[in-house]
Amino acid sequence: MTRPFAEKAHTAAGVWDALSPNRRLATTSAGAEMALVAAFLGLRTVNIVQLAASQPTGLTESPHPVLDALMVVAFLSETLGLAFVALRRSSIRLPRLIWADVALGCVLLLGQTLISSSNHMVSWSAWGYAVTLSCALAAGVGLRHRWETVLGAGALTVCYLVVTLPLSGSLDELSTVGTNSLAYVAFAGLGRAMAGYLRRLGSDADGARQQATGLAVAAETERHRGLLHDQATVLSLLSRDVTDARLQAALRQQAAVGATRIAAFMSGIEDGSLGVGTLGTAVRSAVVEFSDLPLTCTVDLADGLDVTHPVAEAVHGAVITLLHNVRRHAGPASCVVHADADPVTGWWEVLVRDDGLGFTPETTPRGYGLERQVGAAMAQIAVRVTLWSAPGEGTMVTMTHPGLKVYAEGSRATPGKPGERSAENTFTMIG
Amino acid sequence: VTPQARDGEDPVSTRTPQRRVTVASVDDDTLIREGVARLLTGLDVVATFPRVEALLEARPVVDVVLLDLSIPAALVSRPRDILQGVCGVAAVAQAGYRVLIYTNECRREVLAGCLAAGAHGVVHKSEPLPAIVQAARAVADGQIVVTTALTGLAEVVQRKGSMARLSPRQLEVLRGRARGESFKSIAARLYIAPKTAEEYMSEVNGRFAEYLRDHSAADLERLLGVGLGDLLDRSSTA
Repeated sequence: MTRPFAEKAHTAAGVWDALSPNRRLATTSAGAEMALVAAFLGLRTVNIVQLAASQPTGLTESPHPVLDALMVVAFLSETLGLAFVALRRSSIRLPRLIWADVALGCVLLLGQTLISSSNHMVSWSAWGYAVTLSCALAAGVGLRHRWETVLGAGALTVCYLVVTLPLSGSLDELSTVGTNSLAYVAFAGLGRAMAGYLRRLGSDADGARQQATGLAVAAETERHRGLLHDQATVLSLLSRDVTDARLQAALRQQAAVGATRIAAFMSGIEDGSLGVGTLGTAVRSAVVEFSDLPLTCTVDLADGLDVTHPVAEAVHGAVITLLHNVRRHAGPASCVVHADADPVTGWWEVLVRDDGLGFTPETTPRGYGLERQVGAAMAQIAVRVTLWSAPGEGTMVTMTHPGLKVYAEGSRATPGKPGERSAENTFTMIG
Repeated sequence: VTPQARDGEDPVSTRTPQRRVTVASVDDDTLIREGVARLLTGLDVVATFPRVEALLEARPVVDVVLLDLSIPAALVSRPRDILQGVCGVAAVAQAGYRVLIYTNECRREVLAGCLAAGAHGVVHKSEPLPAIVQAARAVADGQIVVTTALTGLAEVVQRKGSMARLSPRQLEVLRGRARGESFKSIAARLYIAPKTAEEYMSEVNGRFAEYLRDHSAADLERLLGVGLGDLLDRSSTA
């Protein structure tokens, strides 16, 4: 495509967009209301155009041309007024004006007997029927209650029948009158149904947007908390008088990593350090920051299982959080990070265990890290988290992905939950 | 922790008299040598040496040699000739001693190399004193003592099908230990005595040590999926 042609096409598309109300209307509740205003005014405009086309002949043949002209003027005036208010308020829900429109419609219908000869009642010489169909539509679209719509459409139908039935002699004429009268019901009923549906769509769209905004805000808050939680631990430890050289070095290293993460977060750059890799890689990358802990990391068995970026990120984050907890609260003589996996079934398990202080799970509230950065993060990737702890005996957190169901019930029960005695200390956080 | 345990005395030994285990310590650090002699009151530290060569020259009669892996090159005029690392382990083991590696070295491949070279156990300097005493006694009794990291490696070797077949109980104990579970906890879970769990693990350790002695570093490399030459072999270990 050459540039001049592309530019012209672009300009044409812009003009078309500007002319197309459908494209300019927002997909919101307000947009749906404006679409209804546009639909009503569009139909009314068509009525006026048709009326204008037929009026010269109609006025010539009318027994009371002045009255005919006055009725046309009244219709035009009322339409302009309605259009002005509807456009100003961006809504067709104007009960008083709609009732006025319906009332004028009834008057116009009843007045047809005066301005049309009897043999022209079912033609554009008697224009009342054609234009009052839009009054029925207005009753369907613009009145709040169903009974109001029924009343408005009924009034128009009755007026139409009052005028036309006495003049209908043949069966054909009766049939035509009957069929025409049904149009009032159809315009009002269908108009109401479509308007209700459009308004509901608009309302749902607004609700969905509001919900999405709320969720985005919550997610952003969560991201902030998630980012700052671990850094708070580092800062807290750094603020103390740490004499252990290894811990000091590890804390400095983590502070540097944390600073980089915060900077990346603030600049909107995603942390791409964890690409698609193995489960073992994800766990290993988390453990390297904790060289000050008496840590044993055995993840070879998880090196054969490829995991997606979200899984790697969740596991990486969870292990980091758990090790922060170990560093801050446990004071262990040893800490084990173990990962196991079966690439065939997709089953995997990551375990962090320390022999530190431990706690009583049923009386100790879970912290944000354990609750959100481990529990909730694992729940998002359908991973079961179990926590075991006992005072003086340490803590063990196990994250298990069941893989195929047949395997989940198999022989790979996590060891390390000591017998019946400690079953009471084991909690499934996410099941 | 009881006062005895703090002093390096196994609390159990105060109730049940056990055979005194004689130990020789080889460590370049004077403080460690002196500390071992004074703090491990559950053991009879009969001799200490700064280098492997000195031990081999003196040939003390002991049940266990507590051997540090790394001897700084500054202590000798010709660093290449020094017996340290896996070579030192091999030399001491070939001299007929039971070797318990007493080290800060945590690289499991290096420690596996030591087992392959004939060591009977590994214990870290960061371990509590009772654990060191217990490890020395186990080694003196002919058992193999390994760290959690090496137990993890043993599990990998077992799962890859390279180790001699284990019984279901042995497997359970191995899996528990690889995940940091205590013998007490394993015993409670399997409804066995802690001593029985220890015996199961000792049998597993023996099989693991056999595997390491029968296989080369390259075999282990292949098993772990690392590149050829990535692990430290006997000649490169310092």
